[in-house]
Amino acid sequence: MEMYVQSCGFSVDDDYRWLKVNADFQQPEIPLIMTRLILTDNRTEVRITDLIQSEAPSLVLARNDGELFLLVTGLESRERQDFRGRKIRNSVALVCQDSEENELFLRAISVAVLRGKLEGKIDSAVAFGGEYGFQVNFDQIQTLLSEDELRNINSIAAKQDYKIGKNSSELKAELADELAEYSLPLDNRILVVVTGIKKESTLMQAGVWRGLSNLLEVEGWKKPYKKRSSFDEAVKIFHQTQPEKKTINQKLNQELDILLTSSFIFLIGLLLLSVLLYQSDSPPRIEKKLLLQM
Amino acid sequence: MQELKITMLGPRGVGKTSLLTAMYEQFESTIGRTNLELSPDEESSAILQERLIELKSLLDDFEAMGGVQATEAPAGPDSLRSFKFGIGKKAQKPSLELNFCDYPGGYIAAKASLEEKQFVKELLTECTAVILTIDAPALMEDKGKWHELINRPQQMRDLFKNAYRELDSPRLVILAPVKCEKYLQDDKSKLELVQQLKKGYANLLDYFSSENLLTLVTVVVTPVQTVGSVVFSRIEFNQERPIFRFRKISHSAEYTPQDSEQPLRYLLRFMLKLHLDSRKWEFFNFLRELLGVDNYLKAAVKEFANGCKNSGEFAVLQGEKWIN
Repeated sequence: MEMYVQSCGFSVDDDYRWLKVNADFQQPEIPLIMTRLILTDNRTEVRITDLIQSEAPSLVLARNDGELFLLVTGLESRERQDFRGRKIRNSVALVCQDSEENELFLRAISVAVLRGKLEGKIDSAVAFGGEYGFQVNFDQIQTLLSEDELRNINSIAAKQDYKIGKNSSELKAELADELAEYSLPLDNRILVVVTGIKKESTLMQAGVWRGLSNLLEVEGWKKPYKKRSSFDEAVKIFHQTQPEKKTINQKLNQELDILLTSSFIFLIGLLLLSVLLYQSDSPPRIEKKLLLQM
Repeated sequence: MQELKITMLGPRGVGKTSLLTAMYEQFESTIGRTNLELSPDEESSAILQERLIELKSLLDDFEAMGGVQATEAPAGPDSLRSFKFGIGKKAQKPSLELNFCDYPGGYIAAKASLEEKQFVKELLTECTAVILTIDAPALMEDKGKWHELINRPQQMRDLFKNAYRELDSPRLVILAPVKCEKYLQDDKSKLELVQQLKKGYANLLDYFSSENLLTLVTVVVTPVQTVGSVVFSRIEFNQERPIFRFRKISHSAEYTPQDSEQPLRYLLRFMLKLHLDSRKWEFFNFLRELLGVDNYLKAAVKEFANGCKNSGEFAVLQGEKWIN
């Protein structure tokens, strides 16, 4: 599992940056998955950062090309401030191989974040110091969750409806409960987005499975904008493999079209023939004049 | 729709985002008096509204701390957002889009990556207008002792030198001192502010007045009091680094920004004039005149000009032709 932490130092030279963090080193690196374009359901591509207002407390869960990704942003530090007296924000990103065990772990972290239990723990693992103005206590940040918190995560098969709603404490709590009980869908996509200011259309176009944004003005979850069940999947595949069969109505319409077209062509042909025949019977006008004069 | 880009410029913590926020608050009232309409992008508007609340929160405590949060790019320069505003005739589709760019001040710091430095350089090259935000207390206090450290004037000059190397189109540069409430109390202190600004940016102003740039670059000075009721208080030190402290002018002081619409007025004057010039029909300009197609734009430029301050601490240092 790869871990990244974003924060900043006190001084003017130590602005926000991502550090890749492990037991041996802490060096500047942006998680690659955040710079990549990810294919969505409707064949568009989107960056994870396009779906969040990163300065606001945000959460993203994604599955992409054999990797699972968790991003948590906008966690305000309790005490650390920069040289202007501005509260410093921490962000954490985890990238790991797509497996049941890893998914369970990331869901557990997400649940803790949504329930407000991790902000302080992450903050206490980040301090001023180091080459870039802040340094991360790797041992401390590795043990964000207790054994209990991990044990309380179940893996019932994922719900297949896709829905979005307003980023409220009620819906965050509901989402936390769902993530604690249910697995994530197996789709290769950005699955969960909880953020501040982001348009509804942006989340829907990205096809997120669960989305919460401050810009939505609805009570509760909006009606699912997509629903897919295993039966529906089977039906979809079935239709894709069968030759197209026409209905009786379609057949009748087709035959009527042929009849009308043929009749039209026949009438045009008759008209042309009549004109030709008329022209061949009547002498030209000059000859007619001469005949009359004679 | 024509797009015109504007960028904020300055080191970390000088007040770039705060100034942008203060200008945003004045958008509606500044444009409202004309026959123009502003159509903000939904997210731009919501985010700047949030920043405005943060700016006003400076007044929550007597020792004004905090304010607008620092700008961050979640995944490098490509992930930075810009703030878009459509401008057009009322009840019609916008014909012009103003695209305000902001960036983390650390992008021009010593520890910035090559990609980050390159991003700012490209921003200056592409943007039609630049708002150079200046920390006034750093410029003024202790005879400008902290000016170089906080405002980095030489670095600003070098950035412009790189970006304007082969300039071939008009540009607007607004020098906007902020946090300058203390230095605008009377005429004497206003004069000192202007003198100190000219001294502190002598090399940059000298560069702008060089032969190649004098006819292309408009330079304007517009001091802004983004909060109005918070003044510089004192300097403290943290490991020999200065920390500038501010306080409210009184416990009950309220949010009273001053002149935060001035940079916007000059911007709109300049941008609309460019937009007008780009709509010319060459030989058929007389038709545009006859039909009065651009009358509403011309009237708007006039209205913005009427409200522009151009005396005392406000000055058009060069390039007046591009704003008339």
